[in-house]
Amino acid sequence: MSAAAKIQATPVSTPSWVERALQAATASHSTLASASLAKLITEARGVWGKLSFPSQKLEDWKYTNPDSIVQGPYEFAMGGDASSVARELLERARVSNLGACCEVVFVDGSYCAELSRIEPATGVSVTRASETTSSIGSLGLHKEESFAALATALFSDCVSITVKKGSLVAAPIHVVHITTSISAGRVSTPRLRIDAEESSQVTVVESHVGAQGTRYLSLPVGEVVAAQSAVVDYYRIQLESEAASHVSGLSVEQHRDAVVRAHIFSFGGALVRNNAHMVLNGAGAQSVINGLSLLSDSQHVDNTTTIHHCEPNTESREHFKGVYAKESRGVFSGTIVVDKIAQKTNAFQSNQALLLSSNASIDSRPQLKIWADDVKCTHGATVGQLDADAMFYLQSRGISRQDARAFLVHAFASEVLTSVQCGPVKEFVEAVVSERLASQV
Amino acid sequence: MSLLKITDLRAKIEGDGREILKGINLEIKAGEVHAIMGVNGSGKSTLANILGGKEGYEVTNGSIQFDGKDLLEMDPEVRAREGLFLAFQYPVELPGVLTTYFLRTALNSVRQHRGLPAMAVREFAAFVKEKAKLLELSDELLQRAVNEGFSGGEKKRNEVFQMAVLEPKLAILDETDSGLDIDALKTVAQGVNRLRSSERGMLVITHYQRLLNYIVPDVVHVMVDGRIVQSGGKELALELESRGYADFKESVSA
Repeated sequence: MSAAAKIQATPVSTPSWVERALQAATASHSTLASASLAKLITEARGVWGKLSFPSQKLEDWKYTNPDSIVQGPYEFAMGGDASSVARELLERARVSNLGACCEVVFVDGSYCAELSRIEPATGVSVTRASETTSSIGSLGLHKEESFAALATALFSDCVSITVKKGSLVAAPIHVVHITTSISAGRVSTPRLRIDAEESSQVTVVESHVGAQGTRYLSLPVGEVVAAQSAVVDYYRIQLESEAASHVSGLSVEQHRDAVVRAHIFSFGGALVRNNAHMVLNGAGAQSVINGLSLLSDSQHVDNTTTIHHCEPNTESREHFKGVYAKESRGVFSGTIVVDKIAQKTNAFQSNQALLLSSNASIDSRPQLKIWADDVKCTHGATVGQLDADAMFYLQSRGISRQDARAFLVHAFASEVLTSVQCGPVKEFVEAVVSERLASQV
Repeated sequence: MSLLKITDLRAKIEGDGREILKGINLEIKAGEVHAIMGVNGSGKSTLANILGGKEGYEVTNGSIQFDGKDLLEMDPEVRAREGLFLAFQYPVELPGVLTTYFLRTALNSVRQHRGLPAMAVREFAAFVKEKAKLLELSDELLQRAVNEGFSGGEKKRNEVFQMAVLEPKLAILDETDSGLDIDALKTVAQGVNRLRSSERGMLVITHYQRLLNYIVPDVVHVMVDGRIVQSGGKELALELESRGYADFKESVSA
C-alpha cells in the first residue's frame, strides 16, 4: 500500500502519552550536535502528525491489533546507564564463539560506551551518529511508516557502521540492545545504520534482549545500504521480555550486484511487528530474507516484508518459518513488487507454519505486484501440525515424546538455519530453540 | 519363559465400530522366530501397530504381557526401552533429522532405561560402523537425514540396521519384504538372521512365503479375518503357498 493511501485513512488520534513523550524527547534533542539529525527529527514529527498510529482498518494492519501500544502509556527517557545492566542480561545476549571484532552496546535505547568495545578491524568505522553529520534516515522509512516516524521523532541514539570500499571484514560486528528493568513503562528508540561501500563485506549481528517480566515498548530502526558489489550478512536475534512490545523497521537498499542476506529470528515479546523493506536498486542485486519465529503463550509476531525489484536481473529469496505453541499467533505478509523495467527478475517466497497446538494460528498473506512481463516469481504457504506418523516412528525407537517433538521442530527450522552462514549465530539460535522447546513451549 | 504372551486380544480402530482383531492368542519364547502370514486386511499390521503402541486403536478385550510386564500400559517409547522393536512396513522419512544423531539419542534413551551409561560420540561412531557393515549400509547413508530419499530397499535395510543398534529382546518385522527385489531381500534376511539369538524373539509378519525361505521360522501362524486360524511348523508356510489362503478362509467360515 502506498504512503498516500495510508495518509488518507483516518488516523488514530494521538494519545496523550505520545504527546508527553515527544515533549520529553524535545528537551533531550536540544543538545544534539548534528544539524542533519535535528532536521530529520523535525521532518519525522511532521510525518507523525499526519500518520499517527495505524488503524486496524488498514490492510497492512488487518491481522495485528496495535491497540495495546496505542493505549500505552510509555514514557520517554534517555538510557545508557551501564550500572543498571544485570550481568544475566549481558550473558543472555552473548553469542558464544562469535569472535566479534567490535561490540556496540545500547542500554535502554541509548549507546553505552562503558559496555561497548569499539576497536574494529581496519576499514570499518563505528561512530555515534548523534555526534556527527550523517546520512541516517536517508532511506526514508520514517516518511512511510507510522512507527518509524514515531521512533524517529522520539530519537534517542544511533550508531553508524561504515565499511570502507574494498574492505572485507571477516569478524562480525555485534550490536546488542539491552532493555533493563529501569525501562519498565518506557519507550526506547535505538537506531543502527550500516553503510557497506563498494566491494566491501561485513557481517552484523543485532541482538535484542530485555529484562524478564518488564513491560516496555521497543521501536528499533535499522538502515542498510549496500553499495555496488558489497556483501552484507545481517542477523537479528530478538529475545525481548515476554511483556514487551516491539515494532521494528528495517530498510535495505542495494545497488548493482550487491548481496544482502538478512535473517530475522523472533523469540521474545508479547506483541511484535517486524517491518522489513528491501529495495533492489541495481542490476544483479541479490536479496535473501529469511525468518524464524518460535512462539508460545499468547505471543503475537507479525513479519511484514516488502521486496522491491527496481532493476533488471535481480533476485530475491524469502523464506519465513514459524513454530507456534499454545495460544500464540503468527502473521506473515510478504509483498513482492517488480517494476516494469525489472525484467529477468527471479523472486521466490515461501511461508511455512508449524502449529503445535489447536489454539495457535497463523495468517499468511503473499502479495505479488508484477509490472514486468519476463520474470520468474513463485510463492507458497503451508500450515501443518507435527506429523503423527513421524512422532510414532521416533517414539518407537525409545525417544521420549518431548525429544521427538524437539527433533521435528529442529528439522522444520533447519531449512532456515542452513542458510545461516555464520556458524556461531546458527548454534546460538539452535540452542534458543532447544531451550524454549524444553521449557515453556 | 515367554517373551510375549497375547491373550484373547480384541481390538478395533478408534471411532469405528468394526472389530479388526477378534481374539488373538499368541506366545513367543526367547530364541523363537514366529511368522504370521495373512492376506491384506487380515489384521496383521493392526497387530503390529498395537504391539508398537501406535495411537488410533482401541483394545476392547484381552492382554499383552511382554517379558512379564503389561505392554498395553506402556507408552511407545517405554516399550522400545523395555526391548520391543517394530520394523515398519513403511518407514517414515524425517527430513532434517540426521540418522546418526537420531540413532544415538534412541540408543542412549534405551541404555539409560537399562541402567547403562550413555554412549559418547566417538564410541557410538565405532559401534554404529560395525552394525552398518552387517547390513552393507554405506556410511554416506548414515550422514543423511533419516530415510530421506532412500530407496525402498535402503529404507528396509535401515530398519534392520536400527534393530541391530538397539539390540531388542523382541523384534517385530512388519512386511519387511514388501517392495524388495530378491537381492535386497537376501541382504535384509541375512541381517535379520545374524541377529537371531537364544535370548531374542522375533515376529515376522508377511503376506508371502518368499521371505520365509530366507528367515526360516520356528512357528508359522495363519491369520484370517482377525484370528489365528492355524499354527504349525515352517512347512505350513509352504502348504499355504500351494493351497492359497482361500482354503483357510473356508475353514473359518465353516
